[in-house]
Amino acid sequence: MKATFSTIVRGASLLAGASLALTAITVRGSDKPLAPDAFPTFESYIKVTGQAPSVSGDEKAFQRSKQLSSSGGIGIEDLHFINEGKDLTTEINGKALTGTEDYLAEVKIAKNEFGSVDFGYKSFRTFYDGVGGFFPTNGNWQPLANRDLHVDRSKAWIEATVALPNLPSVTVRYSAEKREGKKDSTIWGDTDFTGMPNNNPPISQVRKTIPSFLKLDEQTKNLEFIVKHNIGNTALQLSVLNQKIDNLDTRFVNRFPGEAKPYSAPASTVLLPASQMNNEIDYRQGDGISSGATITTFTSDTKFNDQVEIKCGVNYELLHADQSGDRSLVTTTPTATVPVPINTYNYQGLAGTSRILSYTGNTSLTYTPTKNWSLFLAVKRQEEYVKSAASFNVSAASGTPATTVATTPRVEWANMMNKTTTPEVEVRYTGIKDVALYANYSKAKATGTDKDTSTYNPLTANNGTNALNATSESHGNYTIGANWKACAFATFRAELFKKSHQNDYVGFGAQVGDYYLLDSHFTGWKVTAIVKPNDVVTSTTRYIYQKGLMDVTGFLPTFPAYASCDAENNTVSETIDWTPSKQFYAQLNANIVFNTVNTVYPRAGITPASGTSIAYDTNQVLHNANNNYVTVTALCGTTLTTADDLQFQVNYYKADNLDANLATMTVPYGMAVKEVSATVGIKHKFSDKLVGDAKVGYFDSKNDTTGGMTNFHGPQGYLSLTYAL
Amino acid sequence: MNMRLHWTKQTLIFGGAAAWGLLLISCVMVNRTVVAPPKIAGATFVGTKECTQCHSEVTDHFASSTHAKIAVADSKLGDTSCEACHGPGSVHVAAGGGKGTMVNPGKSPQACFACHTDKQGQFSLPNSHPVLAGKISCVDCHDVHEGKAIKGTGASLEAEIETCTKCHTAQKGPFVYEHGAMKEGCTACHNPHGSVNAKMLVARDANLCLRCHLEAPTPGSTGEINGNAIRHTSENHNSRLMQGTCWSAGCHEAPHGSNSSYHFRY
Repeated sequence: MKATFSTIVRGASLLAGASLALTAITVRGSDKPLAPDAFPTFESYIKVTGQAPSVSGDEKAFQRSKQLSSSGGIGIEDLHFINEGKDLTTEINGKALTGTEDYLAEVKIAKNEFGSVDFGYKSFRTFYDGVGGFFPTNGNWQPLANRDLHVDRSKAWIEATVALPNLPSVTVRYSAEKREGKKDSTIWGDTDFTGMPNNNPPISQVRKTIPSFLKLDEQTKNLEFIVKHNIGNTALQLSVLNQKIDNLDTRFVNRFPGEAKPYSAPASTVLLPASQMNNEIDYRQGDGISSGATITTFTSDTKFNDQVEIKCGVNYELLHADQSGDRSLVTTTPTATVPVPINTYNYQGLAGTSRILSYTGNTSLTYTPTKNWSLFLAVKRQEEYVKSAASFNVSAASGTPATTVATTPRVEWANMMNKTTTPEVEVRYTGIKDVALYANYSKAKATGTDKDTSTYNPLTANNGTNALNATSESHGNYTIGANWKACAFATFRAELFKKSHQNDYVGFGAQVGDYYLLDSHFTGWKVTAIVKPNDVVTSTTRYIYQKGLMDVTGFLPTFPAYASCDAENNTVSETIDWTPSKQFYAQLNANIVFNTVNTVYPRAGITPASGTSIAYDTNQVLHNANNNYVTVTALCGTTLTTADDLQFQVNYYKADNLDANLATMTVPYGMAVKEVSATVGIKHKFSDKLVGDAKVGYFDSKNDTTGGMTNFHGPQGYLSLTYAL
Repeated sequence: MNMRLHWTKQTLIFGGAAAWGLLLISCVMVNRTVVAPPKIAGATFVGTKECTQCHSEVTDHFASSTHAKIAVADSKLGDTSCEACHGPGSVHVAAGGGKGTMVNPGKSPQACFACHTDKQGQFSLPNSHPVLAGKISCVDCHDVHEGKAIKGTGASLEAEIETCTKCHTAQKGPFVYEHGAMKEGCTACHNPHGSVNAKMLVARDANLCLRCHLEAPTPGSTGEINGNAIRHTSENHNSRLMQGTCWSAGCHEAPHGSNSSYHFRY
């Protein structure tokens, strides 16, 4: 770990300040008379908080990793007030934290045998860091110019329920949700500045490592009516939901930044001859959708007796959506005097419409013939009809220089129909002492059609390339498991699971269609052992294994079934609780995960040379995707004095999947991160109504995937006061 | 200035001795309980029948829940399913209810982590839903008291994808051209609990797509991957994949669905 002198002084100052604060708290608090149990639970309280990190290194990466503001924050972490009268209960919940912009204001009022009102507002912020890829060969790292990215999610709601005795209860609920801000995207742009040879086809110097971002502006409004009523042993519920969604999201992408070819190309540059550079392209794509849906649901639940329960449900959904969009690209060419649009992927005025009609019904029987047997039978039927169409204009530049822009119209459409039937069976048996056995089976069988056309110019053609496909799906899911309480100190659980899915798209008729069969089989098991050898130790061990195999069949006989995926996951997870005395506890959670996804490339062999390409090892185009990692969280607490508790926590995370040598052939190269943080805190009771909590900690993060550019470390302090209301 | 920290044998010995000493000192000096989260001090099990007295709207439907199928009755108390997650209920019952006398998984995921130990690790990854930060909770996505814990599975009335699209509405569509993978659900490509990869992707490179979209070797070729088993195209993707992922700029930028490109180009 490297630290500058100023970092240490800054960290030491923070630690010293926090220590002094803790000391003062302890001394001052010790003057007060104390209850035997120092930390009572408050029914109503307010908790005021301040937290301040001192980040050295990449502050934006800190914010994304910790989901905390690098500039700290203060405010009300938790406010809870409850007043329970004879018939009326009033509850208020609140939160107001700067930095993380975490806010909550909620009021709940409930009157016995009459109803309730609940209204409020809440929001929180999610941080992003605007990082793209890193190219290790020449150390090229080009983050966004403005990396202060965050998305705020908010919701305002009001809900009123009238529930009079022996009458139907009626609930009206309205909510308005927003999601606004900027977040980074993994749709990275390209750069020539990789220091790679530029005359070695097909291995080009281009790598896509330039970050992009999305600007989100999304709104959802829900208005829902719910009526519930019991008639005898039958519970009935009718709900009608009207949902309106208005989204306008815009993606900003930069390709080949700073690489516009000059009019007069110099003979050479350090990295790449200018004549062989690509031209810088900036584009933004706006995608809008405005939809309105009405969803009506009716359910009934009848308990005939202790042995038989029947449920039924129907759902009807009608959705209309209007899509909008445009995609504007500009580039700088060596022959133009001004930036001009280019004809590829450039369109304006997209106007589309979609209509979804969906009917769903299900029914189930729960039969419990004896106290040891339980049988659940259910079936679901769904029919869905989707129709969509859109038009837009494509811009094409022409001429020398290319300053003449012509637009041509495009139209397209797609229709889908799907009918799905899903039976489900579940059996549970508890007739063996201290054992619960269960099995579940469901299989969704769907048939339908998928008709669409590629986009075409209606001025010159009557249709595009039509594709008519018969679709069929078979999604089977199977589970069998057991829970065995072997003795007073050991419980074991085991579950086997299998998922066999088949998705077929087969063209039919005279039109061109697909021939695509996808078979996927995921099998695995998870076992859990909960062991309590004595009153002070509890060990929970869990092992999960999963194997996934997939086959793709293309146009026969040219493309027969081929193994497309071989994925495997091994997770070992352990949690230990140790409470050797009333005054001390320790908790440990550790996870070791080995996860790999293998597809065809790593087993493709050598691609021989051709007239235009060199021979190369195709295996290097793409290695297995390894997603291995280790996490450890350790927490312990102890009493210090009659008024003080001490808590210590360590978090550790390491992923080591980087193979930077892949950079000569591909991107990205795997995730390699190591993060450690440690916190020590004191909780102190000032009085029966006031409790304080102070923590100091240190965090350190190293990211080799970004060449260390997003490393960060530093101390952090946290203080809170909780006052009983 | 360089400063290096090492986990040496001495560090462990002295650190361990100090921690043990602190424990012994605290035990000698103080005779009160420090409560480990998420436990309730002094509480003992009372059985689910006590819970039904006030929470029948929950307990009446619990038998249909995913969690009910693993329940094993206690020989003395009978069913203790509620307390398996909410902690022993004697203090809560004695107090006539009230905040702070029961474990509330809706406020803290620690109760869920007691069994789902692996999920604690996934949520502590940098790419995860902010459950540990308290901004959302397990019950925002899972119904633990009634029906399927993973909503929309089996013969449920709703669809599995609705769990995600109630918040991520932009991915809900509808799109003129819908990606068939959406029928498999969001978890085909994302791990909602957390991943080492950005956007919680199950793979951060082209392997993500190639699991289903195999470019099969053309018969007769010696390993060159230049055919496409999915559509009529002879586009050789080898050089494309060298430059970046399938969903990189200029390629297939609309993996959830597109309103302007059958091939999800934009």
